[in-house]
Amino acid sequence: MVDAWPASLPSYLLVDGYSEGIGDGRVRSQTDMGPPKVRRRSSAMPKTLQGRMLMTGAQLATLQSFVETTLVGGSLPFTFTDPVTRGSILVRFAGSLPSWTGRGGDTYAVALELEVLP
Amino acid sequence: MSRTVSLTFREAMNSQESADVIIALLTISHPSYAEPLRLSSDPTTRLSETPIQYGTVSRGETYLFCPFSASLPDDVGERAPTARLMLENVSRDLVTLIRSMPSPASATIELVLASSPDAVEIEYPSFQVRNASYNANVLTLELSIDALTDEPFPAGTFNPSSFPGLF
Repeated sequence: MVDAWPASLPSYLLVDGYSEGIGDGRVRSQTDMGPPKVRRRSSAMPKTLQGRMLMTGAQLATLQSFVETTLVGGSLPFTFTDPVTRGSILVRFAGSLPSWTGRGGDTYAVALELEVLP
Repeated sequence: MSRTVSLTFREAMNSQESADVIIALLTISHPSYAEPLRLSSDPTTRLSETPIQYGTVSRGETYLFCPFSASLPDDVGERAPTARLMLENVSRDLVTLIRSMPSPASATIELVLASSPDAVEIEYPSFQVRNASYNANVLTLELSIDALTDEPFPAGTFNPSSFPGLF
């Protein structure tokens, strides 16, 4: 059973910094003239999902424990709430693990870089 | 050598844009394996979540997704055809399997379309895993057909290397 994003953490991403994209499973070969040739190369590609969340210090500690212990250093996938459809999606941390900056007081802005698994 | 492939496959190969994915299925079998090792180059469907695993189901058999690039066998007159496979060595299970083979395993490469995975379009059967090398990232397998041209003819000659007691 895949672990779920902790219920005590926010499930909404901030509008500022949110981006989502379609996984590119095509191969394009550039021709000398005319439009390039395009072929589908893979049936399933991960989609990108990036965004930021505001967390308290206690929530940040929960996130660190979730990433380091539950997800074994961020290597395992987990279920997350789709920011648009609010359905459950299977995701994994992509290129970088969560990072955060202080916003003053007990508030932190946490940046998430996820890949939505097909 | 001419080869018969389906019209769909030919269209997928020659058209300007094609939505069909060409999948390479690799089967490695050895008498010491209880089940052949079946690998697919495409994550067609998700097979399980823990551990997360993708694969292709073809003719009732499940081929696990393992990204690999293949240079398909050549067709040169002077020597036996050889193929080369480079597999991503992310999980090191394959190295254990390859190292456990006491003799060359046999390998089959089949090309199918994702839209009809049960129909084998091109098959390269009866290859032998001649050489396997690996590092932290890539496992390289060299496949070749048993080269009958390398066998001596006539089979036995009375020479110092075959019958040293005579000399």
